[in-house]
Amino acid sequence: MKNKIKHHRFIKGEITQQELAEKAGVTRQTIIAIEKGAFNPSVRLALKISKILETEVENLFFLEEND
Amino acid sequence: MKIPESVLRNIWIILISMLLFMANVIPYPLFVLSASVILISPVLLELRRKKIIDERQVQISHFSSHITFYVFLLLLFFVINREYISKNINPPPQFYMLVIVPFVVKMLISLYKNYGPVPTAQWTGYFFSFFWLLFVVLSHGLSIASLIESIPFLIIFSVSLLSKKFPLAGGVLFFIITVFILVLFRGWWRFDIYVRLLMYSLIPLPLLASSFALVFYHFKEGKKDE
Repeated sequence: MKNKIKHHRFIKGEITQQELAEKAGVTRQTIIAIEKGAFNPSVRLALKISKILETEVENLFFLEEND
Repeated sequence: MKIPESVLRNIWIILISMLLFMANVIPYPLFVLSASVILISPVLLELRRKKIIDERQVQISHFSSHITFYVFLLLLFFVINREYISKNINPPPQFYMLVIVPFVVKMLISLYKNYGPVPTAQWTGYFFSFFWLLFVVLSHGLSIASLIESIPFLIIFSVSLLSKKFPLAGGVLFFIITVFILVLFRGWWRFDIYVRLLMYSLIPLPLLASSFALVFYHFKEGKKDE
């Protein structure tokens, strides 16, 4: 699964990973892992992040061909 | 100030290590009390965990605990093999307890989490009822005595069957069956403490777990219906 969290963080006034993490109630390491694609968030966390970044969840996360 | 869970876990490990180093220095009752509090606290924390916390941290924590569990078993088997099996000696009961009890607990939690309280309680009941029947048939063969001693099989089997439709009644009856088993096998109290722990976790514990699970399920589902 790929994502565009980093891109949307910059669209949303250059919000830092730390700020995003605090708003989503997770650690910065978790946001880093999600951005890198090393960790797939739950539906709840994905929706929370999309709400914070004021976009649809489909704009943030994409399935890859082999997913 | 909120202390992160990872820091708490490290403090916990330091506390256990310190306690083990000080075991022969501090008074024995203080050692037992401190060890009980320190060892039981993470179990209680896991059980009361309700709030949503960092899911990745939880996943990492569970993964590391899972690996630790198997490393512990590996070490245990190494000790059992080196000290007893390789010398053709039967391992003492505490080793059977150390291997079997954690497996029973893990299996019960996995079943309840995967399949829910009602099917798990039913399967537990079916398992024990057929185990009882097998025991009776192997002891007395096909005889009148077997027929009479098979009554508990019929009771546990019927309660298991009815649990799906009447979880509260099933839960209460499973509790009564557990008490009946405790009374029936009261002779177990004469056994070694390790054998007792093993026997109680193998037989009454799963039945008691079924009883509580069905009662909780009834009230939880009842609340949903309101």
